[in-house]
Amino acid sequence: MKFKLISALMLAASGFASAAAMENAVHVAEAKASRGGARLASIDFESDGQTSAFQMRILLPADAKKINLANCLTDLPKSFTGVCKAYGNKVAVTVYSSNNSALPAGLASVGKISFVSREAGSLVVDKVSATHRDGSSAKARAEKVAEL
Amino acid sequence: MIRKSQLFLAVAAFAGMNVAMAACNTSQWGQGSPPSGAVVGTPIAGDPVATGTGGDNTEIARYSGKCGLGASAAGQYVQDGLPSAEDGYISRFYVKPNITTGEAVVFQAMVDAAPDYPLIRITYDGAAQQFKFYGSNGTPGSILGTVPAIAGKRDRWYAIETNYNRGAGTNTGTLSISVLGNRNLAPEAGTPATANLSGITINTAGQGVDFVQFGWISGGTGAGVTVDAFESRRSTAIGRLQRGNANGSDAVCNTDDIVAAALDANAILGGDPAGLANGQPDCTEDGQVNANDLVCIALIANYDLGEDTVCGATP
Repeated sequence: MKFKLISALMLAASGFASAAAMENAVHVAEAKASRGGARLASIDFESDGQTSAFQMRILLPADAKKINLANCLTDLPKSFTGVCKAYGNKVAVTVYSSNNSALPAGLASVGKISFVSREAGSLVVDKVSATHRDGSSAKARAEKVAEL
Repeated sequence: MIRKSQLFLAVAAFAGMNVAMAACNTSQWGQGSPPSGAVVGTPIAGDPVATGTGGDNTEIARYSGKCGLGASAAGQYVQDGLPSAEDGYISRFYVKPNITTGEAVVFQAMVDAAPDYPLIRITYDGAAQQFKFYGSNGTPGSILGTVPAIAGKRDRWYAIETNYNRGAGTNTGTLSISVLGNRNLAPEAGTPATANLSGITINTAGQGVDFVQFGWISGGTGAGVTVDAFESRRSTAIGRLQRGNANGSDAVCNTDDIVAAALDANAILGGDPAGLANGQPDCTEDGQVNANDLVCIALIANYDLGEDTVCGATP
């Protein structure tokens, strides 16, 4: 696939970052579907600078198949790892720092997921939560899913 | 809940006092004046940090909260005398038996008579790596021929739930048993192994559970027995604690618990008992809190998102 999602999303999301500084947010951007229904979504996380773990759920269209999560977490910073798994059309993503370090403030790329769907609906991101490295719950939100 | 026994952590800590001041102790044991008192032998109420809040120099694993009770030899246990000829007795506790040979008695529900005798006895067979469940045959000190056994890996945490009913007359007592533990990285809460015992017999009509013993009471050889989170009631099941709910401040498993476990592991490494978590950070149930538990809690938290479970269990 020849999507240039990452840079496009970074530019789009930088506006969000400046507008809502110091709050965690998940940004999911999706490329337009190919004729065969192949779709690709990029996941980014905007950190408030103190967050060391976060999670989210991405709801794919009901007919989603060939869900590929091989690159779901591959863009994470070195000290971060996590779990990315599909439960039917729901993709659950949980990310944490293996040494409890904080994700630097700003936007960080998490990874990408791909799937095939004939449905036109956008992805939905819900159940977003985050935790500061001191163990306290952090504010977190899901930004509107962008389509690029 | 009618009756609740010791969790090994001073109640003050739950009431929000400075955690650094909370000490591991056995102060909630001994109520009801059981024979030989609250503590028999020298078990240690301590935390996973050597020279931690227990003031000891021993690392005592715990399942929940900051403290557990460690016994390094047979004859080290605690007692609760609050029961009184109970015709129904429900208990839930956690045990990590590091026994290599023989059978170590880890729990007994006793009849206070002349002589005292065990109505129910739970042991860990170190060689067979099994929990075994005994019931009285009516002659003080003698047991029924049927002995249910449930496999359990040595030196791993297991939740044991029991429900005793005396029944009518003297020889219709029953015991239902549930054992679950050592779940390693499995995100699902899982299904416990179960067993039943019937025909438990009392020596004299009207007798029942008068006091209980908990720890390494007798028998077996090995490095030790660690116990934690004992609770008992007359009626209604108690249930297991939420595995992986490390922070203990809510009823869910999420990223807060991953970080709480990370801070707990760090506190153990760094010797800082104040940094220990209040919940159940030992997600793998192996007696240690380390990076494996972070992975384990992440798996559970993720499973909850996908399957709409709560700490791996269907709500």
